[in-house]
Amino acid sequence: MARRVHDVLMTQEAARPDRTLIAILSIIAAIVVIAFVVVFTRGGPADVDPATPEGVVQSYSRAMVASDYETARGFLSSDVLANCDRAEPNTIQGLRMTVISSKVNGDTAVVRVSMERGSGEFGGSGYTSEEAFTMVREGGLWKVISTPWELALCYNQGIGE
Amino acid sequence: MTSTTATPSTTPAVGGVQTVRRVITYLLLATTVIIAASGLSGLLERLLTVNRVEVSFDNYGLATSLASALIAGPLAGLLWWLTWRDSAMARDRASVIWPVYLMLMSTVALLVFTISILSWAADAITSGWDPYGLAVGIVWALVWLWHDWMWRHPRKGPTRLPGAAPAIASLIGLTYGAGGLVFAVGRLVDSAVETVTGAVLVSDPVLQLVLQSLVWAVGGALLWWWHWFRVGTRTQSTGFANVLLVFIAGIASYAVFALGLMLTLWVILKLVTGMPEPIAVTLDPLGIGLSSAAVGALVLVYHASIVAGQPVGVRAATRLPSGGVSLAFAASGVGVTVNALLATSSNSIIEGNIRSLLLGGLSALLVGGVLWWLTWRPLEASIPERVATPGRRIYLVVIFGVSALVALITLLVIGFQLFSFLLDGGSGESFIERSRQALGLLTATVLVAAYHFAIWRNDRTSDVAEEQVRRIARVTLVASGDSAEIVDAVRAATGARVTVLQRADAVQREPDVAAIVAALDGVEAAHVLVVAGVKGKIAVIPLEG
Repeated sequence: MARRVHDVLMTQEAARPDRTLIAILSIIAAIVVIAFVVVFTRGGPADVDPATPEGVVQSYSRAMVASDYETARGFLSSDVLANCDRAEPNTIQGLRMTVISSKVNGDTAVVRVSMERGSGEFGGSGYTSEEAFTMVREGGLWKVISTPWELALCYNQGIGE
Repeated sequence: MTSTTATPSTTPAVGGVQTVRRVITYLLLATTVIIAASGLSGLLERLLTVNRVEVSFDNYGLATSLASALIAGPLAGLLWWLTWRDSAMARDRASVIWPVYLMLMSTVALLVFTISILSWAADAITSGWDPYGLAVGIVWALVWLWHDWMWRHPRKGPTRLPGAAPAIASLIGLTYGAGGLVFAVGRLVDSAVETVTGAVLVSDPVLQLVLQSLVWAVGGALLWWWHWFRVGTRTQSTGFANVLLVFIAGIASYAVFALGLMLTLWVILKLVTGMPEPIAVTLDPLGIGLSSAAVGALVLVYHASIVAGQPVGVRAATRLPSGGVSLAFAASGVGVTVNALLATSSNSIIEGNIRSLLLGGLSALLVGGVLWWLTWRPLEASIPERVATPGRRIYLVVIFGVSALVALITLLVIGFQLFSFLLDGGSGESFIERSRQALGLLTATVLVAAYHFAIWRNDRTSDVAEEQVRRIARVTLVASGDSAEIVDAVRAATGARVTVLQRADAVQREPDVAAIVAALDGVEAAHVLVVAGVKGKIAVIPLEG
């Protein structure tokens, strides 16, 4: 009798790590499934209203990443364009940009972003930094004055903050 | 070279002021040998290039070489004569500083000599025969041969740390060999891929690149073969050789194999899901992935067959770190997956490559998870035989320690980002955006720690006795004839270090192995003398200290 009670106790105890294992495996499976579904079903990043400073930063940066310099020129302020000293084009891969803040002061604006480069590998090798775009309002539209250096089209606009 | 039976009596060397003298002497010897060798190689280099046209004669360089060779050289010789004299060696031979000096110096010499010779040979494939680069290799090869000769000297070679220097040399050879092979095969696969994608515009001839890697592979293989088979590291059962075996079979080759599998799976997943990136970028890690998996598997399979013939302690000590390596892969996979999931939560305006990140995490999780399942076998993790595995508690404690360290670091990062976010007044997204890597790793660490804590608690409540306690630290066995079998049995039964004193006279009907092991049962002492006597008599004498 005592032996049987002992056996039952043993089985219960042995079951404990299995329960923990099942719980942990379910958590991991849930993370994987949710991540897979979310990452693969969502489209690209939402388009920000191009009338706002953030919207201009998005459109300009997209054009630079796609090496579409003609479109990018369209977002530069006339002052920068008039004195443009063409910078060497950068090839930008795996750039990720998130807006940290956007401040408008009358006819000028500063958009602070966090830029992560080379995040394609395993999450550890990415290099993140905070950068800023400055803008000026010209004829009702926001135009870029300065950008982070990787995204500069002209040398004289290359210095961000 | 069976080290245990060949080990002579190890009377500890006299310590105190003698220890300080030894440390200073060997430090000076090492310094003068290094300076003299660099001076000699500088002079030899000039000798090999006498027929070159000198644009300007480098007097400073020549003066440095001459001073190094002519001043440090004789001093090194003098110091060596002082330490190598019979009277000095009689005092110092049993000191642990002597083998440590030889081990460090021969490892340094071997590294300098092999790296310079092999890179010279690899360069010779492109730039042709040029004796200029050989000087360093030749001089340091001589330094290595000299130290190797001292290590193996029958009367003056060290009595402590048996087999340590050859074991390190075999590891160096294996690293060169496996590394060279990985790059050669990887290069071949890459060039095959490139002919399909046609993306390469400028490159050295493929054959030349492969040959350069093969030079390292062949050189490393020779070095490994010499030390592993000829010198006999393979058959050694010293502590050092065991640690080496566990490191190669349980950790290094396993990690290379898992890394290769992971990279390959990552490429496959990216191909299957159709990444919006150039095909050449997607296929880039394929060569190194396939070759690491293949070479890692080769090294792993070979060493696993050797581990299979080892005592149970070594087998368990190999299996547990393999589980740990796969666990690390799986946990980083979970971390990266969480990282990718969190990346979708913030409203980035340029998205980067989250899919590639997620697939990287998934491939690490899959490869690490499957390997962990096979090595740790979680379904039978708590059966009594497994609970009693030697080293299991150490493994669990190491896991807790590493988890605590990772948790501490990630919590610090998260705390820093949280406070800077609060003080900075950024947007709501930027906190998660900035700390998602740390959050991912923290999640994985918590899961790992939770599982192993459950295992730990279960081990504590199970009625399996504590791990085998070492009651005897050292056994000195007096026996005649070949006692390798007895040594292995005593070591397996007690976990003690065994030293054999060979009897001069032959003994009739020596006691058998089982009787000796039985006689040691229940004995508790730091050091035990066992005399295997005539007609099966056994004397077991506990000694002090």
